[in-house]
This record gives sequence, structure tokens and C-alpha cells, in this order.
Amino acid sequence: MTLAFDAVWGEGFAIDRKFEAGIHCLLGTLSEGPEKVLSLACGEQRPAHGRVTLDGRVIYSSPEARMQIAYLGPDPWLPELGSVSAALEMLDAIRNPHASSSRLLDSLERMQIAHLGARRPSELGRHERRAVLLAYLLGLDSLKVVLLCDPFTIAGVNQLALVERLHELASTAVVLLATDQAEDVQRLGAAAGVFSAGRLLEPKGAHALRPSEYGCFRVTCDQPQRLTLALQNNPAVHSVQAPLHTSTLEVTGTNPEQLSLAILGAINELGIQLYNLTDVPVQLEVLQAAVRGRVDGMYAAAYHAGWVAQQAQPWHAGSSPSGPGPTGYAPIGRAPDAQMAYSGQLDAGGRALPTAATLQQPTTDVSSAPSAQTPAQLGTGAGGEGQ
Amino acid sequence: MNDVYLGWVWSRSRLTRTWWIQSGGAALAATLFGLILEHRASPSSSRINTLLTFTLGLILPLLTWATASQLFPNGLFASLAPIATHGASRRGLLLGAGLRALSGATAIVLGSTVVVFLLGGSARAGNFGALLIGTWIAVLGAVAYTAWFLLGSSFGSRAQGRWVFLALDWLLGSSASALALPWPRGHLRNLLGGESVANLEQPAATLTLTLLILVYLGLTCVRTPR
Repeated sequence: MTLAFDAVWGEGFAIDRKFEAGIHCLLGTLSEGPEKVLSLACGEQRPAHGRVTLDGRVIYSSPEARMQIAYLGPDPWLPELGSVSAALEMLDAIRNPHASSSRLLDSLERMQIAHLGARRPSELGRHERRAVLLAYLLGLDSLKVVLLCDPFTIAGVNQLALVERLHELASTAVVLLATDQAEDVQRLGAAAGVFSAGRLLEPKGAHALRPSEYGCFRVTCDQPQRLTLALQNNPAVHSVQAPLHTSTLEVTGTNPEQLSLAILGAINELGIQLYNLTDVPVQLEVLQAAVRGRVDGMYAAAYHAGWVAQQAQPWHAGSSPSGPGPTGYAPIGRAPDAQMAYSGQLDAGGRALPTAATLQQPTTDVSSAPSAQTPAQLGTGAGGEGQ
Repeated sequence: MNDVYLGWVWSRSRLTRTWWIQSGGAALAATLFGLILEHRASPSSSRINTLLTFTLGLILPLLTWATASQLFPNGLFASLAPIATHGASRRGLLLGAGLRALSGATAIVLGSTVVVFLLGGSARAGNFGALLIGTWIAVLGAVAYTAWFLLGSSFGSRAQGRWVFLALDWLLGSSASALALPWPRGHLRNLLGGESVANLEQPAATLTLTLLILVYLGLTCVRTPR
């Protein structure tokens, strides 16, 4: 099947692309393109010009096409019925009038949110509604298109099971994810198109990246916390990642020369002992920078993280990595409970494989300490294929 | 059929019980206000038609306009979009949602009509025929105005069409010329014993209003993508 865009939805905002079965990520500030693309693809909105089709049928005006599309938006709606289960049954009846309610309950149980089934839809918060809808949509059969907006931000959802299910679906369906996190692309081992100024840039493969426009340095020193604080306010620095229990920082910026000067300047100023300063490959960092609009004129990248979640838990046997919170839910937040970290194992093709154990390692604060091994290392470990 | 039911259920989240209570309360208050004004102006005359003209000519349009605004605040298509993404037909959803809007508005207008009948002196005079006539005109008017403003909701990215339709009905529908033919106001006025539109008799006005309802609904359906 083919999901084809030939659409313009505003001044300078356009997409002209065809997607076949597989996982595709739309990377960019969500409100500046990716969300809109999903909205067009599910028929929620009509493009100002052009059209979006599924196997030649215009999605906006074809209920038959929309029935084959699963869409999870940023703030989904549930019918205001007596219970969430009843609401899902009603939605399910649109696609399949003879569907059984047991299948819906199974879907909720897989995501470990069966307890929400008895609550009233109006009692659910936005995140809970998203979790319920995600569980329902991923349990649907015979889908041709799956459109998910930032699914990894939904707390309480089993991340491993989600990845596994998306890979299952991708064998027969177009799976399109909107995200502003390059880690999500890496997590799925997906191809990514980068949004820049409202346009989906043409994927050119990892070789199209231009590292010369970008800088990433690994700094090992005796006072990483002080250095982090000093660098965070420096305009030449884009991000500072500080894994826990190490003395190594990864510092990124758009201009390598300015970046190195900023690092060395801070080290001199603070009187910090520098042990090592090396530049590192930049696949993931380039994508992250592109998301934040910090790399001008960067080509989009088809990014391949290089691993396959072969050892992830099966879809039906998933469990929440961190366990339920007080409400049976993990805390809500950007950071998933399990950061996928490269364990050092390789598959037959020489690609890095995560293990269930490493995938479930919890981290304390992703914004400041993503994991013991950073996304850059993941990209490095798997980068052979992408390059 | 499921789409219609889904539209009915969906509209419940927009047209809540609180909304109907507030609307009904406002309509009742306006009706009582009209009764007081009319009583002061002509305490002894038979005034059922004047009061019904006030109810159906002022309260009904405003009520149906407000109901359509509450139901489709961002316009017809944008408001139905979140459900349509699940594969439901927008036309079915529109029908279900429209039925809820219609039933609620009709109930309120009928309530106002009964209040007019009871407090306006017709009940004491035993003039139950007036109640019967007022009832069916109220129902016809509620259907006409609901269909009219549903059509208006389909114009404009923010349903600005509703304002235009309200203005057209007030400005052009108030006259007795042929310009008033496409709008509900003049025909309702005619049915209540007021000035006729283009010299149409009351049966012809009824027929015209019925045809207009079909046209409004048909146009709304055509404009609404599946």
C-alpha cells in the first residue's frame, strides 16, 4: 500500500512524498510540521492545496480509507459513555460492527491499563486517554496506516512492547511517527525525515550528513558538574549530556571551533583538570540539532540506528519497566522509564542489539543524564550501517 | 446507522445537561419578560399570536444559533474531525449531532409555547386550538432554524457563516417582499398570522418552509465530505 502526500497547508508548509510499508519518523518540532502531517494523513484536516491518498483514495473524503488508519493525536477524543470500555466498543463498531469486546480488554491488558477500562472517559486525563487510545489502536487488525504522535511520551505504556508491536505492524502497514526526539528514531531503527521550516527535507542517507557543520566533543575532567553548569549558559553550546557516575560529558554545538573554544575557556576559567577532549561522530546529534533548528541548511538524514529489538518482550507479555505508580501508572513525563542502551552485543550483521535487561535499566533524569551510554555511542556502535 | 448514533453520543459532550438547563432558563426568562411587556401594553386583548411571534421570532432563532455555536464552535468539519478519523462518515455524525440539537431546541421552544399559552390568557379562555397551532408551528420553526444554522456552520474556517446566516434571516427575512422567500423568518411570521411573504397563503408558506428545510439539509449534506 502507498500513503501519498502531495499537499500544501500553509505558506511555505508542504509535503510531497510517498510512504510504503515500514516505520518512518517525522522528526521536528511537533507543532511545526510533523503533527500537521499526521493530521492530514488521518483525514482530520484537509490540505489547503493538493491531497493525501491511501492507495489512490483521498483520505479526507473516504471513510473506507480512514477505517484502515489508526491515528493517535496529541489530545484524542473518547465518546462520553459510561465507561472507557463502552467508549472503545463504540469506536470499534465503526470499523467492525461484529467485533468482540474481549479483544478490547485484551488490548488494555497488554498495556497494563486494564484498570482504566471501568472508568468514565471524562475522568481520564489527556495522557490516560492517549494511553487508552494507543492500546486500542495497536490492537486493531488489518491496518494499513498507523499514525502516532509522540507515543513514547505516554507514561505507563510498555515501551518494549510498543516497539515490538510497531515492528510487527510495519511489515504490512505504513507506520508514521511524529516526534521531536531523535532517540525515538534510534529506538525504532527507523528512517527519519527531518522537518525544516515546514518542509520535509529529502532523505539522502546518513552519508548526506555534514559533520563539518556540527561539533560534538567528549570531555573527561575532574569536575564535570561545574563544567556542565558553566557550559549550559554558553551560546556556542547546544547541549551538555552528563551521564551519571562518570566524569565524561558530551558537549554539542553548531560550530566546532566556537564549541572547542567555549569548552577550553570554561576549563581554564574554572581551573578544572582536563583529562581528555575528543571529538565524536555526530549522527544523532545532527538530527537533534536539526530538530531545534540549529543547523542551517542541513540535509535530512535517513537514519538507521542499526539494531533490531529481537530480544524485546513479546507484545502480549509486556510489563512496565518501572512498575506502576500510586495509580497503577508510572509518573508522567518526557523521559521513558527504560532508556535503550547499547549492551555491546552484535547481531549477525554486525549491528548492535539491545537486550531486555539493558533496555529496562531505569535512569533518573534523562534531560541531564540520559544513560550510562549515550545516544551518540549508540549511533557510533551501530553507525557502520548508516554510514 | 452507527455513525448517527456516534454523532448523537458525541454531541452529548458539547450539548451537556448544564447547557440545556442554562438555555432553557434563558428562554423561559425571555418568555416571561415578553409576557410582562405584552401585559403592560395591552392587558385585555387576545395576544397569543403576538407572544408566539416574540417566542418563535426572537427566542427560537437565538436559541438555535447558540446551540449550533455550542455544537460546532470551530465549524462543522473541524468539530467532527476527531471522530471522523476513526472511519465514521461525517454525514452520519452530522445527522446524529443535528438530531440532538433539534430535539433540545424543540423541547425548549415547546416549553416556552406552553408557558405563553398558560400565562397569556388562552388557557383561561379555553383556546386549546391556539396551543395546538402554536405547537406545530414551533416544531416546524425549530427544524427550520436548526437546519438553517447547521448549514451556516459549514461556512468559514471558524463557522463565521452562522453570523452571516443570522444577519440574513433578520435583515432580509423581516420584509414581505420576494427577498424574504429563502429565509425562515418571514414564513414563520406568516404562519402566526403576521404579514405574508410575497403574498403566499399560509398553506403555501408551510409548504415553502418545508421545502426550505429540505434544501438547507441537502446543501449541508452536500457540503459535508463523507
